[in-house]
Amino acid sequence: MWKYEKMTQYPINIKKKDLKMARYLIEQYGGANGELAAAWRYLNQRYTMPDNKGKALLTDIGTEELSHVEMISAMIYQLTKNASIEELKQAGMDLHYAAHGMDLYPTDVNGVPFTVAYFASTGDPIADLSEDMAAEQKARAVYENLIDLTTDPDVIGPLLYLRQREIVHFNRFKELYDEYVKKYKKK
Amino acid sequence: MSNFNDYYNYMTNGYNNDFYNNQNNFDNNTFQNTFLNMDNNPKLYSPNEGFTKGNMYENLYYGYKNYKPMPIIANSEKESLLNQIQMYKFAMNDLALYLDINPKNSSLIKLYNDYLTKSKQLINNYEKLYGPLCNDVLMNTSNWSWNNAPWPWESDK
Repeated sequence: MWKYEKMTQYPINIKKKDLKMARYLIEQYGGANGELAAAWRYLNQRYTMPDNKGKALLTDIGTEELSHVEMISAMIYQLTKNASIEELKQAGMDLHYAAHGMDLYPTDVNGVPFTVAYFASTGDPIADLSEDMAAEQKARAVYENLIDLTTDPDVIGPLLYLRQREIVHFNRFKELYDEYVKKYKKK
Repeated sequence: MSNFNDYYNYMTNGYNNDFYNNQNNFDNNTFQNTFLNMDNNPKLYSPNEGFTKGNMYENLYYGYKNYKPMPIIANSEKESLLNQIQMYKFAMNDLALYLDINPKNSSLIKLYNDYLTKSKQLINNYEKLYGPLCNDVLMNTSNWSWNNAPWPWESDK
């Protein structure tokens, strides 16, 4: 069971409207290496981890990813707030508007809806954890691409923060991966 | 050693002075780094620096290009209090991930408990002034304050 706390994990206070940046950020909401895929990847894989360390780590990182879904969503919401139809058209967000109005909707940057095909589960904790490590590195790379696409400090701050989280998660997964390789594959 | 301060005093008696002198930027940093290093633990940032960076672990931090972490600026007392709560919750979360796979690390568990105690005090203060952050507290019976604005995604906090 989850508890909801009325705060983002890191403050999101974006003052400037930027529809193009909102469009790019949707990639980390509903894209292949996005936060929604991350949350579901780990929360889905946790049930069959071979020990309590794995169950705890995947539960806790999966839970943290849910808070990152909220951070990215808040950023998209604030970047698009009070946009006019003309502004939506100029930024190419009129297509999103046609289907979803000003609602958020998890797609990748090209508007392809989120799919669970973005993650795997194999029944093998070592295979699953290597996928998780790759996912964190890919998300880090995408955050760097996104940082390159903006000059707004209100956007860069949370993106730098989220990029660091990918780095920490990668290392925790790697430590567990190394332990499992020793424990289960070298007998 | 029944409480955290006793532990602090005990552990800092033997610290390395050079190390101490290099760590005067953040109040809490010195003590954490000092006693954690004695156990060959990861070197930790203070909650403040870690929260700003998005990473509590010095050995894991590496920046992107020349970007520096953005300072977290509060626009009101309320926001400042919330930022402190977020800061301790962040530090706890990052310690928890390490403890998940290193569950016998007593000094880190003690630090976790210390941050938890501090965050609970701050949450208590915040909720008295501004309403519930979580719906697991006793509610004002005349008005269901849980649905008071703002919500976390609203920028006009």
